[in-house]
Amino acid sequence: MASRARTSKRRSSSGAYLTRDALRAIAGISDDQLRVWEYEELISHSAIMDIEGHREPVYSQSTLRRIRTIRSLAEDLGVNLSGIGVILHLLDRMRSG
Amino acid sequence: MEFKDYYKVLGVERSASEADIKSAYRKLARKYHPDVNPNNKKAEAQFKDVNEAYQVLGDAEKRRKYDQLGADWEHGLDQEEILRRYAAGQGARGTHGAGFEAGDMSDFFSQFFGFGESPFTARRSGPGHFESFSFGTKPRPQKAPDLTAEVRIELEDAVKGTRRRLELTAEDECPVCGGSGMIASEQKQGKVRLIRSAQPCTNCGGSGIIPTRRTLEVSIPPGVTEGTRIRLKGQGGKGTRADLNGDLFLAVHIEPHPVFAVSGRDVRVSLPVWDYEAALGAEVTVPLVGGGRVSLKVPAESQTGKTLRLKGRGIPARGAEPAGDLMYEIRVLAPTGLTAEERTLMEQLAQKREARHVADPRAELLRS
Repeated sequence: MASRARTSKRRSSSGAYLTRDALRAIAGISDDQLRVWEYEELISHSAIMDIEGHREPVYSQSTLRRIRTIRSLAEDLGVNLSGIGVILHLLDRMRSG
Repeated sequence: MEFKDYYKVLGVERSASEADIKSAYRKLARKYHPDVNPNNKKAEAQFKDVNEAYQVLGDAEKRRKYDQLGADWEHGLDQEEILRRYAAGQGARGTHGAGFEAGDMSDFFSQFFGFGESPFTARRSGPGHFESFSFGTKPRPQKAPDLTAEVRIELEDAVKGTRRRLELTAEDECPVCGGSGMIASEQKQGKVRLIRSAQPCTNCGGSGIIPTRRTLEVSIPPGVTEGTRIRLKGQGGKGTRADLNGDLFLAVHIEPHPVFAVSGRDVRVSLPVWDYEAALGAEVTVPLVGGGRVSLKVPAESQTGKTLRLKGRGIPARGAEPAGDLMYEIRVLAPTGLTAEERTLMEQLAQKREARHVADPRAELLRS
């Protein structure tokens, strides 16, 4: 299941997944922050993929928007992690309903 | 990949009861906990192993599958064959427990118990998770952000409806990076496109958003009230496709009016009348909301505070909301600038009323 690297430089689109490193770079967050948010189940990886012989979690692009929401709630409105969890849960329900 | 003997990790027999397993786990977790062993990599690794073992053996269903897996392993079956059997026949439906992180699980655990329903699909749902999908299908695209704007209108416009030209700044998704703020280097991994590194998008400066000035001509229907929110579909942030555009929410505010006071859909007016008009009754001309006048009959002996109601002549109906009423609240005025003759007449009226002992209006005040 080794990676068949066919790398191309193009814009990201909604069908692509991000590695943990790419997610951190794009979202501008630290690894610790990401771990805490995952621990609190605010965000979660979408799948585990075999990348060059290593199994790594990958994230859908909607995770970026979710991180933007989390940061905005925490940094602009001062909502704590539990509160953010509740808000995200409600938003998920609104979107799915 | 090596077979992991979880029973050995927890130091229990294969026939151990659930309570024994729990007890062994607690004992070892305390022993190897990172707080008890700071900067001890070996203890940390053992702590992870113990946790992993308990994730499987502490769950009856997973333990049953693990026991079956162990038997297959011992019989020397090919690893791929075991994996295939496992995925097809049983489907590990495990989710990782609270307190666990993806990176803390061994390859063995991830392959057979972790993170997805089976090693071949990835599907997560429920609170805190994303939309379900399988490899090869695209996640549901997101809508561009909604936009809110305020519009201030006169009361007459609320009654009759109006059109307004609005200048607003919409947050359109950057067409270059698709709103992610980054230009990513993608590579193909089977059917899946994978982003492994990224640079900030030069078009939007990494924000993913391009502020765009937009002029919109919006129509405000009759019957809006203070705080009404009007939704203009697709007029918010511009998405990558037309159906992904955000919506524009217009919050309507009604400017205060010098004559009419709006309360919900009802409108109140203070109606001054002379004392003789209030006493004898009169026909007075009054203004209507939204323009126009109407003749109104003030009944004889009306007092200050009496309300005359014109039903349905307040803010007009909109949707399920019925039209409000227009209410005139009488305010009796004492005559001013009396001539000598008028004064004499007033004095005569006072004497006549005194002579027939008309009730004292202050009697209530003096009773206590």
